[in-house]
Amino acid sequence: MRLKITLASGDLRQSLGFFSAEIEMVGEVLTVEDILKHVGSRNGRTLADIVIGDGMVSPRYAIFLNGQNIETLQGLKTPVKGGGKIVVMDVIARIAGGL
Amino acid sequence: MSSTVSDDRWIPSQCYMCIHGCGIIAHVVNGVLVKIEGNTDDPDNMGKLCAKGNAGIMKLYDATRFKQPMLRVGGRKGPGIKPEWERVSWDEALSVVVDELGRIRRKDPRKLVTSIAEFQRMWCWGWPLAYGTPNYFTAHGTYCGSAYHPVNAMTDGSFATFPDLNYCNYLIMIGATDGFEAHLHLSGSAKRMADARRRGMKLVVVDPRLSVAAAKADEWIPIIPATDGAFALGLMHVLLVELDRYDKEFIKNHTNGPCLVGPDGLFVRDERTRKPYVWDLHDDTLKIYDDPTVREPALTGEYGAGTPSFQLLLNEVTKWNPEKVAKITDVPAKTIRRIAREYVEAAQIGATITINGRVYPLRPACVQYYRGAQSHKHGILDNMALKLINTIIGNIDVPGGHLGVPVYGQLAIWPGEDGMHHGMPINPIEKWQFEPKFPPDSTHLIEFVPVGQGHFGGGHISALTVLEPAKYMLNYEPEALFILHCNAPYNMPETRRVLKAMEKFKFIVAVDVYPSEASDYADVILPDHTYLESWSMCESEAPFIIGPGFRQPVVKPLYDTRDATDICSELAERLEFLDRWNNVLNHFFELYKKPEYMLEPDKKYCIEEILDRYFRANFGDEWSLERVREKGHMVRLRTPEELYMPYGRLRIPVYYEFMQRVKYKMDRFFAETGLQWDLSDFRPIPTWLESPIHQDLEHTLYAINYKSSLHAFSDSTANPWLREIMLRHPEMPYVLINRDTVAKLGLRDGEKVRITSKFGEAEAVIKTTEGIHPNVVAMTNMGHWCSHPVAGTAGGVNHNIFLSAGLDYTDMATGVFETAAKVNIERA
Repeated sequence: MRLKITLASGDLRQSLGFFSAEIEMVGEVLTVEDILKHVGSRNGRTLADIVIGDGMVSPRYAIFLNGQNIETLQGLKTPVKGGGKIVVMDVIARIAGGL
Repeated sequence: MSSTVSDDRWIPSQCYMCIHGCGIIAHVVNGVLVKIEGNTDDPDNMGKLCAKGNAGIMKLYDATRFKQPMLRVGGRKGPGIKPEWERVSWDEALSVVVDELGRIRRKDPRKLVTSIAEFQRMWCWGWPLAYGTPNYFTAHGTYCGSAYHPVNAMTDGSFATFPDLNYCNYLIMIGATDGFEAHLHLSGSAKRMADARRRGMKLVVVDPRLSVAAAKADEWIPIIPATDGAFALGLMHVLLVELDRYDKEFIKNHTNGPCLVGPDGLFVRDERTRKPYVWDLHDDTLKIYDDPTVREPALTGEYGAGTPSFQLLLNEVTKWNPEKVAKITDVPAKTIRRIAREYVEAAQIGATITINGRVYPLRPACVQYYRGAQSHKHGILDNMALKLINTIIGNIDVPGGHLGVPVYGQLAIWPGEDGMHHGMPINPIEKWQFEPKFPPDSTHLIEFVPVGQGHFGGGHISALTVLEPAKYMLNYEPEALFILHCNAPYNMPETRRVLKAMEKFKFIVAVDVYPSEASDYADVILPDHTYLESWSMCESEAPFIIGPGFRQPVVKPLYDTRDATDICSELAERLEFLDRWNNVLNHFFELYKKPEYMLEPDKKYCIEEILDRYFRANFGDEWSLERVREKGHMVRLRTPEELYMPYGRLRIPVYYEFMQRVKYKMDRFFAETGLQWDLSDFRPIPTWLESPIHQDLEHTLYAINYKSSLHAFSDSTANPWLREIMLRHPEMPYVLINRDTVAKLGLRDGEKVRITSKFGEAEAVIKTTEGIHPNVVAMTNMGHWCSHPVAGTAGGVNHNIFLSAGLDYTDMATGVFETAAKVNIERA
């Protein structure tokens, strides 16, 4: 299935080399975590290696699936369907936007 | 001389004479704005518009506006010193700013402090974070609810509150004037309040001053300042201890009241699920709170595994009998008992109402409160008590009751790890995170004041740390100040200390419309458009409605000014952090909802482009800026399903366990670092603690500040129409004092007096009245000294002079400061 992933983070863009990209994955039931593990960075680490710590989304990042923060869904175990749009953002704007 | 009308238009837009943004229509004739009226198509204000909104025209045509960028010439700064300016090009002014802020950013970005109060462009609050400094604060603490917002969020994910005037029959308003003089969406609220009164709603106002609300109420109850929390505890005592009348079903089924608390003050939880236990009286068994077999959860008593949290509330409330409370508040015990009885009888506990085919509890009684009631030394505790006097009658977010109001969109309510409302103090999109840190990074010490929105309440702490960074543990010296529509010298407590802090900054840049006490200290002025010349959208703590209002230019910019958002973008590009700034905008405008509309990292966007993307991403591809412009706004009434019981099956707190957890974290941190810090405000159950003003026996009178419908913060005092009304007002230019008190002091009505507190002094003219508690004096938004010819010559006295910015006058959980003072008054 095809998915779109957008990296609203300078550090992540530097590591992975893109702002927005479409990716193709094989699988019937994939989770957000599966997809993050699939996206590789330039230095061999995956996106999951960077944004997940202790089994949770690192406090530095927020992940949105189709416009919803995955924390309000099923976290990293949230299932993703074909055509899904994932955005990984720095939480730089947390206090401003998340007031 | 004849004139020809060739172009006569009414243009819809959004007001910005206060933070809330009523819908307006602007009458423009031949390119000249001649009239502003309320927009009858906007369900928020329904065509109503307050005096400020009508007077907005004079903001546009203010002759003293900043007409182009300016650099300061001459170095002296201070009160009474009129700055001298050299007009320069935008490029010259921006170059100076970029040189200074770029140098600081390369060295240590924390050395930049920012002071931002742009409420209708709140995305600008994220600019400092994109720059790389944690130091940003608003300066409206005297007028705001820095402890109110966190307790609202902990309770039901709300930011503010409002009585459900659709159904409420009995409203107690404490230290607030909603629907009369100030607070949420005044124009629409005044109409809703008038309708509720006409319907027969009884209104009781508790306030040291006979406010407009009190004057129109059924009953006015004068009270000693900063004792409102004790009053709420007294009401609770009557309901819970003396009458045993409260909504037991609501407490059992919709709150954490039955959850068992252990000796450590934390819930006793199931190890696997992390869910709290309750004690089921039906079969005398310990069960997880959401076990479907629970039939009769205990609210009172003590059990081997723990004590129901409601019992702990009861234990505390038992201490606050009306006789004790009367001594503190000066409200007679019999009045407290009568009001409590009237309140609970009006609540109709057990009643229901069917709306759109759905059955809701009906609780047509509410306690509404705001700044005057709870912006005090122990504001968090006051707020918890004032919230719980609502919760115990089961009126939270139900018809007729106490409604949570989000800052925008929906309430931030969702399950925490235990399946109850998350109970966190702010409305985060992400998880609440707090780690105390030594040395702290921020000038407002947010690292040590974890529960409040530090930039709201703790702004005044920056005045302390800027002056003495080492004393307050900072390991750097703040150097520069970036001001965006914020007037710290006027709005912050302990004026003389704030002025010293302003003088200490080596470089100050101000983005503003016209001169203020703050911009008088600037080295560079970057002039903003007025709201009548610019684009924006704003949804800000609106009761009953949802969706953004829409601001569009009603006239072309009159001068060589720029939009504040565009100024922020330009600076971000020149200072090489445009990607981070665009990320702030992506986040704030929720462009991640449709990634195709997200701002690309290295491209600068103007505000029109950003708004176009915002509307398309949030309302659908067809909602271009042009289409929204034609419609005029995106505001609609909330449906009953959106308004009532948004928490559904999620339990809300009567026990703020979060506060206990934070206290443990703070305890550990301070034990490890050896630092001294007052943690008395960190409690899961409210109590009432004295403020330093109650302990100040050297001064005899309490001094309070009150709000007027004519003004919002300090900005509107520069408006000549509003000034004219104000100076003709029978009370506003004066300090209000009780007639009996004047007689005791040997003074006369209209006499000039000297007012003195521990922290400052000023002269003022007194006005005698029976409409104020004998131990209290009151003043409003006056006493400017800035170079603006209208604001700076209006007279009156600034209340902030008498307040303290010290930590000993600060709520250490939320950062709110004591907004009442203790003063002496003598003939000048």
